[in-house]
Amino acid sequence: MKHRENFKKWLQESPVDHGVTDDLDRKAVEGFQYLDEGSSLDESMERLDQRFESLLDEQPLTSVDTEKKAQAVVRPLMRQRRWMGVAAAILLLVLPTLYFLNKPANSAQLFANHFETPRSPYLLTSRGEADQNMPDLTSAFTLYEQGDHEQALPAIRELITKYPQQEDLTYYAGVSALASEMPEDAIALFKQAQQTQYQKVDEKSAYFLGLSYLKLGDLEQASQWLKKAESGVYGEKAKNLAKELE
Amino acid sequence: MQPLTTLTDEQLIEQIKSSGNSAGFRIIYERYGHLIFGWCMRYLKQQAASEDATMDILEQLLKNLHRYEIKDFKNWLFLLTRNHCFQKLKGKTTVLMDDLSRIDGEDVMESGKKDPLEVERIEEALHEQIENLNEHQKICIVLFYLKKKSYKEIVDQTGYEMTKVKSHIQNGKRNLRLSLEHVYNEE
Repeated sequence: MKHRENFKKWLQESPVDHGVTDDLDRKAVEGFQYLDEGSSLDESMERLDQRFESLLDEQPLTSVDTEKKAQAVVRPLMRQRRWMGVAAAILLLVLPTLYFLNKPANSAQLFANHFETPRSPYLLTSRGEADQNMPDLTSAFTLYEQGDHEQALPAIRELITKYPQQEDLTYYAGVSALASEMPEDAIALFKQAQQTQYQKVDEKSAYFLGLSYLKLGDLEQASQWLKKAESGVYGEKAKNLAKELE
Repeated sequence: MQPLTTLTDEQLIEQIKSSGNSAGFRIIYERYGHLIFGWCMRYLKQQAASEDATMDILEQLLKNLHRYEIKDFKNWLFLLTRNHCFQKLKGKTTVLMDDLSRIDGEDVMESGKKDPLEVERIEEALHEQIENLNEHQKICIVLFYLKKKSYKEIVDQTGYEMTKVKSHIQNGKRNLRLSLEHVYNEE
C-alpha cells in the first residue's frame, strides 16, 4: 500500500512540498477536501476496499481467452438461431402476406432493425508511432466500443480539432450522436464527414445519413441518401434498407 | 518470474488481459483506487456519490479491461473517471454556468448554445477555477450550486451569517466569471 501511504502524506501537506508535480495527483489531492466532516481517507478507503473485494468475488475478471471461448460457444448457437429466424421469416411472408405488403413501413422499427454501430479501428489495430501519444483517443474509443455513446460523443468531438489528420473522427462522432438518439446532430456531423474520402468515410456517411433521416421519420431524404450509398462500401445494406422503405 | 508489483501499469494490464488474474487487478486498485476516489470527489464534490462512482468505474474496468489498448494508463484512467463524473453532473453545473454568463439579465459572455466540445472544456475550467476561489466563496458556491442547498441550510451548516453567505456567493460568482471569461471568448 505504498502508493496510498504516500498519498496520505500529500494530503497532510501540499503535494508540491513532496516533490509531486504530477497534475493528476494534484487533482486527486484537491478532491479530498470534499470528504464529509469527521470522515477520513482511511475510513473511506476501508469501505471501498470491502466493496472492491465483494466486486472481485461476484465478478470474475475476463481475460482475452475467456471472451474468445465465450464467443466460440455463442457462434454455433447464433448460426442455429439464424436458420430458425429464416424459417420464421418465410412463414411470416406466406401467411397474411397481402396485409403486410400493404402496411407502410414503421420507420422507428426499421431504424432499430438496421442500425448498428460500426467497430472503429482505433482499438483494433495500431497505427504506428502516432498512437503512442494519444491516450485521449484510446479513452474516447474505449467508451465508443463499450457502447457508452453519451460519454463517447463529447470525448470524440474534442478529438476532432485536436487530431485533424484523423479525418474519420467526425464520422464516428456522428455514429455516437445517432446512437445517443440525436439524429439532427448526427446529420450535421455526417454531412461534414462527407467532405473527406479518408477511410471511405464519405461512402459510409451516406448510408448513415439515410439511417439518420429514417430515425427522424423523413423517408424521402432517407431514400435519397440510401440511393447515394448504394455505390459505396455499405451498398448492400443501403439497397436492403431502401427496398424496405418502398 | 518478475513479481507483479514491479511491473509497469501497461505490463500489468497485458498480464491481466492474458491471464485474467485478479492479483494483477488488485495491484491496479492499490495504485489507483484512492486516485479514482479523489478525482471523483474533485468533480462530484460529494463523498458518498464519489464512493459509488469509484465502484462503478472499477466495475467497468473489471468487465472491460481486456478490450482496451492503453498506452498511458494513468491519463487514460483519469479521462475515464472525469467523463463518468461529467455524465453524473449533467445539468447540475448548468445553473451555475447560466448565472455566470449573465449580469442584470444580460448575457455578457454570449454563452448561448455551445458545441459539446466547448461545453466540456468550460466545465473542466469551471472545476479548476472553483478550486482557486478563497475558502469561504468556494464552500458557499459548492453548497449552493452543486449540492443544491438553500441559503438557510448553508447558514446552518457553515455558521456564516445569511448576509455573508449571499456575499460569498456573489463574490465567488464574480471571480469565477472573471476567470472564465477568457475561456468563453476563446475561439
